[in-house]
Amino acid sequence: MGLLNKKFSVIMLCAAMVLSGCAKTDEKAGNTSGGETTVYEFEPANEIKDGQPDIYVVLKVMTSQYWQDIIQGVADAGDELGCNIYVGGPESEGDWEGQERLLEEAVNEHDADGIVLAPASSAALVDITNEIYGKGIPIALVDTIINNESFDTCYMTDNLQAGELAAEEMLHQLRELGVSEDEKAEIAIQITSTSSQTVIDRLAGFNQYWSTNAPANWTVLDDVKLNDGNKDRAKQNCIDFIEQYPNLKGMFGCNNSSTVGFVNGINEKGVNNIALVGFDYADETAALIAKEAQHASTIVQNQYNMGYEGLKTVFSVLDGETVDYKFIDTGTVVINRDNQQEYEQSEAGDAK
Amino acid sequence: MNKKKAKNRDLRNGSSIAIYLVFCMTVLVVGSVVMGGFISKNTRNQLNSILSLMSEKVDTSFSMMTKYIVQAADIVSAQEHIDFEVSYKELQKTVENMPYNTIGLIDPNGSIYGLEGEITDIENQGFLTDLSDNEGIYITQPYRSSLTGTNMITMFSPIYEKEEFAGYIFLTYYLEEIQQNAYTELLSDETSITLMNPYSGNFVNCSQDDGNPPGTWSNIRLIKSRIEAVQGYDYDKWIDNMRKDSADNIINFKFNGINYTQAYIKIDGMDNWSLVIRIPVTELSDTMGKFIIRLSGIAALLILATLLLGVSLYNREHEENETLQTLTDIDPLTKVINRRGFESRMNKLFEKKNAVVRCTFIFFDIDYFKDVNDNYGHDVGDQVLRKVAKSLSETFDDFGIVARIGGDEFNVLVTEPLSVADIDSKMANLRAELKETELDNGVMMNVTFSAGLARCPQDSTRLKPLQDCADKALYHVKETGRNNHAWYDDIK
Repeated sequence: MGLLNKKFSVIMLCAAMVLSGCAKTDEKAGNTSGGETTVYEFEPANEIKDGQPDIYVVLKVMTSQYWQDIIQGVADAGDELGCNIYVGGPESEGDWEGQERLLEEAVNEHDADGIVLAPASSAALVDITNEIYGKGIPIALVDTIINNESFDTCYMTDNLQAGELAAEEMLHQLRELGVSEDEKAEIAIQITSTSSQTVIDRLAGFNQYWSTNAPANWTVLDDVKLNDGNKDRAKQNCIDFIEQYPNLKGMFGCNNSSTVGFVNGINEKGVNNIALVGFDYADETAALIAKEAQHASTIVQNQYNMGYEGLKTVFSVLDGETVDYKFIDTGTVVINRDNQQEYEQSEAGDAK
Repeated sequence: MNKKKAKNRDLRNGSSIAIYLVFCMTVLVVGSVVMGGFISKNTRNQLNSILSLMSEKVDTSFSMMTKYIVQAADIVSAQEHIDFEVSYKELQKTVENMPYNTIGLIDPNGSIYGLEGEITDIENQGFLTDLSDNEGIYITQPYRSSLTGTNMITMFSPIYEKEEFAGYIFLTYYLEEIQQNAYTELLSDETSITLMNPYSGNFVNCSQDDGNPPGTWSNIRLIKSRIEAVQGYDYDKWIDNMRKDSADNIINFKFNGINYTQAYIKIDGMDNWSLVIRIPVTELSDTMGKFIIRLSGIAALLILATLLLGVSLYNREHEENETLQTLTDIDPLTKVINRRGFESRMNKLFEKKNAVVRCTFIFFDIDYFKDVNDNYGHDVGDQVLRKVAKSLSETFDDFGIVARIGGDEFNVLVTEPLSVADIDSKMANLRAELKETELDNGVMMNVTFSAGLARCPQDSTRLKPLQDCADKALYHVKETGRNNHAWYDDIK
């Protein structure tokens, strides 16, 4: 099966899951929420063959390019190493109860040989992972770590370092923009919410790098704005920043929705004297980066590798090997106008 | 009149109780406020003392952590020639008994002798670059360890060979180790310990905080708008003090409705990072608040108790006084009022100015009483006196006062508006009754009396002349054969 076919099959898997509807589950005993959880039941992500180990993948959500890339990575590694891959996940992000139910199902009903998990909660899934790991079933974590040691390795972005990288890129863009070190320059930050540790780590990393490397006149605004993932609010936040702060020279979006909000605000206000550094590679972001008059960059993660390496770890543990690392940063890359074409070509190349 | 007196007395008593209660409540309220202020101040002082003690404890523990690396660096530096492979293996033997997690070396060329994950971390986190900018002990900011997946800090110290720089030795510590250092039995669940960088505004919790594991990062910008500095403190100034490492390191503030007090301690070797210890004030102030409420409750109960006791004592004293008064005013033989009691009451009645007294004064004398005593003995004499007193009381108690003045002499003051005829009638009945006085032994005795009567205001409006008038009337009866009564108005 060629790479393109594999990628197509993963997309088809996601589409099939959405079209076939979600399996409704009854309220779980001991479930404190008291409500129902809605999940996409496990579906094969590659060709199922007899005699191969069955690896169950439980993700945070199923329907975005980011998660499709992770599934692709797992499926590719499964094909390479000879594993049957089954993928499932909750309909809404943050539904750890749905994940817990799927994990129980994988182990108790399907006799899973290994688990790849992207935890929706670092705290709430501690017990179930302790139980599964205690049975000798290998677990690889992707995207997010959990608050115990009941896993073999976690593959994720070191978001603190990603934030530092974003700050470094912001300094670069401001200098490209021609902002003098003596000039008063203010940087605005927008995030989804204060409950996402991922975005908080990025914000903290950004500030950490900034405090030791930025000129004294270049300061980060205390006024961090929240958008709760709402695109309209994210755009309005951008417009408010532009109108409220005359010395605004840079904007940092800690995640995809915040970045797209900044992009839309910049387009609406028609400004080109403010640098933007964001996260992820949305179409709107890519279009702004490509504009010669703008100074925009974004940080992309290596989510494909999270899935790919995660499955390899589970397989190697099943094979009797020991793993030396509990945590592996899968790394990030800065995309700006200098390397945008190269990046897009390499992505297109992967697709072939 | 008695009712009026009692009413006046009750009013006076009621006012006294009200004044007493107002006074007590005032004392209670003022006391609570003063004590509340005192306790609040005391609580702050106590918290500040606790913070200072914990700061010292953490500071000492950090010094110990630093001491381990200084000692290890000295041991390695004491060698004539440092063989990094051999030294590294030797150092591994120390790990088991020491609080640090791992120990390793870096040679002057930057080659790292450590576990594979450690080497990755030191390279990826850029620690080698940071080391080149620092002299002496260097402590990293918290980072996620590749080896354990948990958050750690690493300490570096330069090592020397014949006093020439020869590389670094490093120790890794779990972030929780810092929490352990500050552990205090008293506030084990309440104390929060974070590392804070006043320049970036970042802070990293070293203890389990709101479900977040040690090593969770955050930034002051995300919570600053919800921090409400109290008691004249200023959060920005406190952050500024942290930058300057000022001795003024304590702040009181309110966050999410909870009062906290927190202090920072500068950590030597950890560039721009300070350790922040935070204690919620609520625990202590709640205890103090409960203490004040209980104290107030006890005080209120005590006031009530003293009030009840006071009223009880007053009533008892009043009763005792009345009993005492009764004992001194009553004739023990006949149980009617004696001369003293009678005069006291009459004086009170007549001493009121501008008041017209309407009464009848009667002077009684038992006829030939001396003969009764002489012939039948004092016991019978006493019986006769008791019978006469009893009859007088039965006749006049509802209309006035009956008293034994002395010997066989009785006085009656009729204060109710009885007519001359009414009194004459009562005197006749009395005389008939006493004519057949039955003694204790069943013997019947004919007891007779003589009486003189005078009226106020007809005969006199003053007491003494009125008594004289009655006395004269009695004298007239005695002179005219006894066993009779006469009105002064009839004999004058």
